[in-house]
Amino acid sequence: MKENKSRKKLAAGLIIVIIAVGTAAVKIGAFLPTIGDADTPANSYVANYYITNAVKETHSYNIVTAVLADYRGFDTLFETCVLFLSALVTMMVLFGKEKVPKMPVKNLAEDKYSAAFGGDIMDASFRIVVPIILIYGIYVLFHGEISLGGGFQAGALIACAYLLDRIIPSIRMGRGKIKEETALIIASMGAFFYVITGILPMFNGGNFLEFAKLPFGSSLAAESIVKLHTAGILMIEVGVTVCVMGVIIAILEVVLERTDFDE
Amino acid sequence: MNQIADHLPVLVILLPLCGTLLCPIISHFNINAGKRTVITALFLSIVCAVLQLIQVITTGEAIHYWLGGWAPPIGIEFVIDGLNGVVILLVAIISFTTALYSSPFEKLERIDRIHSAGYYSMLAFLSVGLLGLSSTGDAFNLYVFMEITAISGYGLIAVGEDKGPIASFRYLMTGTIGACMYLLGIGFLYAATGTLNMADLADRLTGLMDSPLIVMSAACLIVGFGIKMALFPLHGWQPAAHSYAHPAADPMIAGIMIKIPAYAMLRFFFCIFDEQSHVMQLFFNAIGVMAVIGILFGSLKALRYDTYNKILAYSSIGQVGYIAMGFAIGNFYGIIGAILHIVSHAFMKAGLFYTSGALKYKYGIHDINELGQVYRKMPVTSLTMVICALSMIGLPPFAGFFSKWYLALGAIEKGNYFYVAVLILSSLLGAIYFFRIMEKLFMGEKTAREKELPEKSRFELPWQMLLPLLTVVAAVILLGLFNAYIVNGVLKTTIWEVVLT
Repeated sequence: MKENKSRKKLAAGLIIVIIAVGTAAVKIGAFLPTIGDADTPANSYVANYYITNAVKETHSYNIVTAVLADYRGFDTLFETCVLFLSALVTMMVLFGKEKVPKMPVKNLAEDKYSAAFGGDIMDASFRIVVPIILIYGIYVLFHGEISLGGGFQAGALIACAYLLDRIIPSIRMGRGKIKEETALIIASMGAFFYVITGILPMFNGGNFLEFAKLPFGSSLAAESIVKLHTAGILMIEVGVTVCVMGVIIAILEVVLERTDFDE
Repeated sequence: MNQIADHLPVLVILLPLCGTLLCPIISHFNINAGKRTVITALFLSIVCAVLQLIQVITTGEAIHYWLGGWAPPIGIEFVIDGLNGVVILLVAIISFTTALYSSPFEKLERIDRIHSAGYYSMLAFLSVGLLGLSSTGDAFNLYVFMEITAISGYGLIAVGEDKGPIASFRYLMTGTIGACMYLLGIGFLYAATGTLNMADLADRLTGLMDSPLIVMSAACLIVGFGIKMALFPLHGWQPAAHSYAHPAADPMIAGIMIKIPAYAMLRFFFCIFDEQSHVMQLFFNAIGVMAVIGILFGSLKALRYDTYNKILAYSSIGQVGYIAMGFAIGNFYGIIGAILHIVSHAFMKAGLFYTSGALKYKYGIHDINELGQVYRKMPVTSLTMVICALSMIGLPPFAGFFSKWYLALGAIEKGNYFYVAVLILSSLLGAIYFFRIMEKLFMGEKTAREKELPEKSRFELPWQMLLPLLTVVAAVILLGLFNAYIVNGVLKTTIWEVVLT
């Protein structure tokens, strides 16, 4: 009875909070800028600068990439670090849990039909899909500067290819897998490559992450500076890709080894 | 040399970041080398923080560092002035000592290389997050660093004692709400002004203070920072998290993880918003009420418990209330008191958690009833405990006295004698619970038995653990003795020029 009462109280409290937040949201909605209105402060100040100058200054036709990787590249560095950190914390928390004993390979061969991921046709077709996903991932990585895409998506795609390869049962089962620790090291190296890209300009008289001062070009012509921006954006996108890939693989491996699917 | 001097603000953060990212791969080859990389990086970070603070004091001007070479508000900038120079140095010192302090615990637990690398990576990330929070001059960048701080905090709490994962999950839930509230607040500010740079925000907000967007934004920010700094009605996650976190990382979690959001709150409410406006005065009154209830609640709750860590955790709720009270007072002395209390309480609470960790390391003690006669075997630990406790109560000449003194001066200047009464009352309550611990320590009967330790050391504890204890004692005494210099030489001009304009 007591528990019931306190639950009712909790529910009443939650309903009051929800109503209060809802009313506040409705009230505040009238003061928020209209979407797409060019005269609001949100659209006319810094955003306007990005729209006018991004292509000229960074040579990146995708303005989102220009803001994400160049103007506010420092934020993205730490967003990448947040991902690495999430993999690290997941690993540290789950290491307390015991590993599920591995099924012997021989058993698996006999048990092939029941252990299949989605039936034979699905398995066979997914194996064809894997290389295509990989190619698409690479395309998304290198094309991110011009069209939609970028490091985060490319990393997720590549990890997705690995995931399919990992969970479709095959004779290779358990042999081609990446260890958790290796995946974590790959992720940390990806983030470190991003940091290195930022540090390189510091040896050439620039600030941290100042792509215009990357020590690759010798001439100071406007054209070559724009190319340096392109190079910098590409380098950090590669770093992000590697990091995201490592993070997803690490979390996947940690969880897979500690989950018993037969139960 | 000149070149390095130009990059100091970013180097303070880059060095621990490189250390933490390289730690997993170096540990793969040599378990001790990875650990040493992190400790060395954190030490170099202290050196950079000191050089940076000296540069700020001698030139008398704030350092602006444009990341990516983009001028604000287009890009992100770091702004270092006298105020956050001090806070950065504080974070760097406590991070380094905590990393050093952690190494004997490893031998105790006999852990493998992934655990070791992971622990040090998380610790260094916590340090990176806190350093970033205190250096940045960009509101969204602050959110990113807040995330880094929070996630590494969740990890360090979860790898702690048995109840760690549950405490961590509670913090995860509340902390996420806090981060969302902060992000909402920033969103409203961006909608009203179109910029994220703090200095630019302050310029563009003049005359806008009565707009509902800004009122809503300030309310969201109070909830967001309140959760992160465990201000009274929003403190639910804090006692469990501080009690069950990893004993070696606890000094950092309890000492500075709840102080830096308080510093960020100061930045927002005094540097960005116009603190003289009618709306902000209302909010300051609300913060004052929260602070007063929090101070009394924390001190009274601390009386109830016999677990050492729980007492310290509840006392932290009260002490964060002092900082918030400084904001509510809002005049020169109030701000000075709040800042000095951020610094001195960070050292005192870190010191008390160092002693708690040392007791766990040597005896496995959690309960204060088992403390009897421990001082005979652990003189330095007991000395640290006594000095930090006296400073917490607010006895001169220790650091804690002066921060409370400035708070009282500010309250009197504002004519608010109620705050003074609360200060005195809570100091008396603090005296009760701390003298209870000391009574058990010096007069209780001997019950504790020493644990089997992996290696004998010449002193009561390994030197890696003694050094942090001594650093804290020195800091508490020096901050007390030289506080006039710190206030006049470092903080005064910054506060008049930046905070109270």
